[in-house]
Amino acid sequence: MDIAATRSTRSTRSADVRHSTLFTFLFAVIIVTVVIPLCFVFFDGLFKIENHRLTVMLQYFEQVMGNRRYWVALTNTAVVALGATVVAVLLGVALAWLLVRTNTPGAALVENLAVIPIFIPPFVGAFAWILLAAPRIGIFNLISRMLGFGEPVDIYTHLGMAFVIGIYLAPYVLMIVASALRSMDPSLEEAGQVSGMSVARTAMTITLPVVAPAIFSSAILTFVITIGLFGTPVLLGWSKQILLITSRIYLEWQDVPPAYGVIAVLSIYLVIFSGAAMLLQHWLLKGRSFVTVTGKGYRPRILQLGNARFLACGAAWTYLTLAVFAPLAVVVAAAMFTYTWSGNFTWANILFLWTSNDVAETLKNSLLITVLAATTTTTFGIFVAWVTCRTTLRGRHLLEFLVLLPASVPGIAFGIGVAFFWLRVPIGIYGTIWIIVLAYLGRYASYAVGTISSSLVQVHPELEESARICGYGWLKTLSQITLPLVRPSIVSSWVLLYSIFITELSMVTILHTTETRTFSILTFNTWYNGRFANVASLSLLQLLLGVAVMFVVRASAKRLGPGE
Amino acid sequence: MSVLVKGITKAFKPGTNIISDLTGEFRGGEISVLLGPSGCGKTTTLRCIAGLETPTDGEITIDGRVVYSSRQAVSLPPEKRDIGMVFQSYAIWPHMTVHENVMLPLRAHGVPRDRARARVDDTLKLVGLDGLGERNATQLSGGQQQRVAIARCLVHHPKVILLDEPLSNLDASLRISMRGELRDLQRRIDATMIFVTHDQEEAMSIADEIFLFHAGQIEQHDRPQNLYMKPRTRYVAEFLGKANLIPSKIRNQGDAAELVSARTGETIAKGRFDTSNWTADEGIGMVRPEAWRLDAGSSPSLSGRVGTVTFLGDRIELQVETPIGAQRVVVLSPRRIAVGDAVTLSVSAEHVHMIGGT
Repeated sequence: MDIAATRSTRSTRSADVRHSTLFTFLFAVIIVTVVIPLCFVFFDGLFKIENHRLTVMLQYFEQVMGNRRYWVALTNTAVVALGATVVAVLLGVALAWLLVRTNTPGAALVENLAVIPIFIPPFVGAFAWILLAAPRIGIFNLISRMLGFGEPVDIYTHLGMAFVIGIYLAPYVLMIVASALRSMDPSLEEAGQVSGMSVARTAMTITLPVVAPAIFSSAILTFVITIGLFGTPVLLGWSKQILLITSRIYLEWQDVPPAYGVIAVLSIYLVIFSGAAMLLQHWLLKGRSFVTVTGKGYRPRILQLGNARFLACGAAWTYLTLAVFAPLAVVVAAAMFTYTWSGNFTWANILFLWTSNDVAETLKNSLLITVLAATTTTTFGIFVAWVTCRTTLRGRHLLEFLVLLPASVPGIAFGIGVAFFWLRVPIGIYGTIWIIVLAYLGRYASYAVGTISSSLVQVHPELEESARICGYGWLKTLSQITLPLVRPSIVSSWVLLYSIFITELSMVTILHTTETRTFSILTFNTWYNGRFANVASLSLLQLLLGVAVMFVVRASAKRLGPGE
Repeated sequence: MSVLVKGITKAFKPGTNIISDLTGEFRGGEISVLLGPSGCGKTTTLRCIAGLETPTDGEITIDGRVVYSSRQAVSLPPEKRDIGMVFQSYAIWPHMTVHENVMLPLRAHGVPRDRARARVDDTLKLVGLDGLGERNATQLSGGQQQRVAIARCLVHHPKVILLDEPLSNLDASLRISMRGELRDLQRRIDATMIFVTHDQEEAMSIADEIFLFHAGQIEQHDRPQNLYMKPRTRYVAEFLGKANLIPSKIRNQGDAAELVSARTGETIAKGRFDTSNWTADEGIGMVRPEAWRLDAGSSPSLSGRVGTVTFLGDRIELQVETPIGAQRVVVLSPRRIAVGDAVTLSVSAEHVHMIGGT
């Protein structure tokens, strides 16, 4: 510690032993919440200790490789992830182009509404689509059958899964590609047209290649999110037993006793899958970022669509209907009937939310965990962002890297690592709400760090330095100058984490016990038991807790906070 | 209240020193200007004095108190050094009013509220901002923000005031009037100021003493006029203003010594020369462009022809081709002069300054 302190003092902007103490602490947190859990995933799949000697053990790998059902899970994951990526990219790119580069009426409104699908919990979206397009009970099929056309759609298929996941991930593609289109210098296209190319050729030979890296990044993001999804694949794949790796891990975890080795190997599969995708992106995009971000906003060139603009508008609203309005409507409707589409109106399902002990208990757990985790993670994020932006401490890039690492590790695999670790530690973390808080902190710290540091880099360091000169110490400067200046980003970090944690399912599935059941687990179990009417009302409450609370906080933050 | 810097070295990466073994004394009650091109270490030196950077080696004393010493392992944080500082960006806190900005140093030092309030008002009056206290700091113009920054740094009566290129964000005319105001203010409150700038005109007009930086060290320090008239090295001569540097020799001694061109043997000037800067019997004779006279009839003189003429309003800059090479000459307007005119150049011995080296 002494050596570390003197060495870092020598290389810091402002010498302060407290900085290195803080740095050591942050590092320790990351080691415990990220590094060790990830190591445990690999350790349990690959090694064992025999006679106090560490030996490599391929037994579990052989077991997984030799069993057909794991191969099927692997193929299913690949097929669904690729399919969902294709759906999301096609929808997202088309929407981005229509909304940014054409005169589609109401483009701004559509673009604002199009972020909503991101905040609809995957579980709720999948459940809504069961009500819309499942065999027998799906609304589409009901209507079609009444009209004598049979049952045209089946959501319980690979295609159905890819479609539902794709429409809920399309907004990510939309946002990334839209911002690339906006930051592209319009004179690039003008130069093309002046050189004699048609509008269509300009689009193909100039616009598309320039935004290609953005499209590719968003595709990788979609792919990585999809292979880590748990709620949607289980809900949609269960009835025909189309199981993905995540659903397999869940199943194996339910076994008594669970086959830890197999679970570890399956988790390694997931980590390798997403790791490979991230590497591919890194490798392909190296030095290929054409879109120069100058911080200067260009006014994009608008293509006049003529009457086709109404068609474009219709297409955009069709998307919103499929992803937002229809699912919402169908869940509300389902919550009002005694059982699915019985036609008998009832308040019972809504009243159940008030009266049920289960609801009250799990809701209490969820809120407690969420508030604790969102607060700790944001606080942690503040300090990590400050250390990486404001000091030159050696190792700060490593810290940044370690914080970012779990973002590409599927939640369920990360949860497995956390579980394996705390199962072995004798202090009573396992089975308490604290293990869930720690898992959230490790997995999502990068969200807080990212949000806060992007705001912190905009605060001139001299604003802090002048406070030091004026006589404030380091902590006082942080609390009186820095934090007030980045307050909007702190609020949005907290709200973002809140909205993720309150409905999180893939990690709590692994980490909860009967005492620490969360609200999302209750909803999941209710679905598992087939009580669809209750699932509908529980889903509504999830939406209310997540999306609605987020919008309220955002709106009030905008009113109170200093403008960003 | 002087600031003493002894042998400080600062390296951000091992082996690449921003400043190396720098020593200097910045006297109390004066404005010391640290002048030099970007990357010469002047700002780093200032930030080391402020405590915003930690030197790798050396010792810094403010008013007799050691604030940094590598040997004694002392390194006071900025808030313990009792200094004021004006930043290049002004660093006015946008989430506070003018009053709150200026109040903060007093709050930090626990000055009772009513006394602090009165002091803030006095200070705002001193810098000409009375009545603007309740404004939001971001609603002010550049010049007003500058005044807030100065008020904030004066309010707690710091021992030393550090200014890091404080005028560089202002437009040209405001910059010149702020210079005068700063100068007046410093005299009135008898403050010790260390002022960093890369603008030599600013440096010469505001400084009691200029410290000219070159590659992480102080090349020379002196009163502005001395530094301009008697640069010790070629670097200083070329950095400050414009200079004709003529490789020369001295012929004869005493009052009738002659300065001759080392290359062509032409006699340039006659009289008594101060050669104390010369280490060998050869060196550089520096003639400032305004020291050349264009009158015919003086002896010795150089005949030449006008190569280029640049009209600059109050003066005319000429390039004159002479046997000893092209000379830069400045004459005051109005004067009729054209390219190709034949002229004679002469300079008196007292206006030739001798620099060592070649």
